Amino acid sequence: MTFLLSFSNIRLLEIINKIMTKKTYNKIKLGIVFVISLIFSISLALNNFFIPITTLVLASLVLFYLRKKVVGVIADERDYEIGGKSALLAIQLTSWIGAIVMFGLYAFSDRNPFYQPIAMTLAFSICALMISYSIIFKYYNKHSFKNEKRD
Amino acid sequence: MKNEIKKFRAKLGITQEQLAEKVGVRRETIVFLEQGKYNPSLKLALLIAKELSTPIDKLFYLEE
Repeated sequence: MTFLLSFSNIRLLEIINKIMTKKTYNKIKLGIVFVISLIFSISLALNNFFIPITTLVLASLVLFYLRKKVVGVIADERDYEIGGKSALLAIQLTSWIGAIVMFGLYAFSDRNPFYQPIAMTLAFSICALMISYSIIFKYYNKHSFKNEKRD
Repeated sequence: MKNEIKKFRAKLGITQEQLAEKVGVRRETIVFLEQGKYNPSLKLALLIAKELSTPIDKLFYLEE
């Protein structure tokens, strides 16, 4: 039995090594995201927080392993450049929309008592986002960001 | 910035996929480079010039 299990494991590893192209990796990633979202929604409905966290950790490990097996380049300098620009724009948009909504909620807080805590949470979230962005930016500005480290 | 990647690649008879593999980028990056829609890093430009056995100043040049 042990022999059969270890044999099937070796076969599985061989298959993974052979078929793990970028396309297959992306398909598996999509499947995993679908499964995670399904497990998340079911677990939250059942008030269980252990299963989603375990699933998330396991899925990250599986994806990390499969990514290492992919033959060819998954992301290159162009992707990182686009990623950087997209992240900056996303942060700016989120901050602006968050700030506008926050002031709107403050302005109408006399109509509904729940508006004020929501506005406060929003304000602190935006501040946290901008502070973390600045800290990470300063870090990478100081310690030059080499392509090799991002592969 | 303009480039002659397509011309020199055709001279050597290699595909975009092959060039991409040799310099360690995705094929789409080579497509965008050839179309002039993306300016490469100095490292990538040097790698491409090396793979195409062409001086970098003949491969990449500024538009007049």
